[in-house]
Amino acid sequence: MAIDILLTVICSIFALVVVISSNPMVSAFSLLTMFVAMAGIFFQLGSTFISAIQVLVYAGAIAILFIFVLMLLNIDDYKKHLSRNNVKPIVGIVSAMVLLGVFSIIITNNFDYLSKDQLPQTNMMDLFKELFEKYLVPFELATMLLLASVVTVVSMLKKSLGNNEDGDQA
Amino acid sequence: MIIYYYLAAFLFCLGLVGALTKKNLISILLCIELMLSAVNLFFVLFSKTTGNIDSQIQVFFIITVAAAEAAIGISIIVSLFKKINTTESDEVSIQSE
Repeated sequence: MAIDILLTVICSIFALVVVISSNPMVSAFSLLTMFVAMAGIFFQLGSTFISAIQVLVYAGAIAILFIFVLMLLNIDDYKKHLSRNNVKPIVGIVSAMVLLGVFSIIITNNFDYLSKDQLPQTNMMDLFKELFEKYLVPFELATMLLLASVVTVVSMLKKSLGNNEDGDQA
Repeated sequence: MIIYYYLAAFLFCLGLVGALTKKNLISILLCIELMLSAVNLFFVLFSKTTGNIDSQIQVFFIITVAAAEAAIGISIIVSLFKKINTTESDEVSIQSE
């Protein structure tokens, strides 16, 4: 139970830093830390494969990609990247209502009927059997999505970076 | 385990606030990743609460969509940076040419 509270506090603090900080680099690094802490939460919940995927894909690929691009773009005038204050009250009200709605759903439905020792350990064989039998068509559609995103990124950056003949080799 | 439900709701709303109030485009993308991650946590929790493995399959697809979305968003930001030399969302307008 102590480690649950510890992971929750770590996640909350670093997510707050992501939103509060005006420096995008600080935001990206704290998002990376939050992803690793969330992988710990998944491990605590017994789904170890999702935890490994979280570290590999989210922390290792997506957050590092953000940090890499931030280093490439070399944004040094981040002091004026503050939040927009005129929409803050309405956004605060809307998100507080969403938060209260979800909290009321959680309180009234009493989700917590499985204690920690009776959590079902997720078997990887079951997971992949489900993925490759029942969800085969969505899986193939996901590969099509990745292919489409690769084609989009390459064509967009090729157009924006100019007709460089050296780039055609790659 | 109930504390994780509150954590997921809190993270989602925090990402919502950040995505709507940030001015830097990269920070907006980071907050969207925060929201997607909170939804992942919700799906894993539902899978654990109901004992059903289908919710964990959804997490794979959410991670795939998040990776594709991050790649395309970053390429849009790099294209904009080459053109107008800033990443502030207020400076961006399609009709600016």
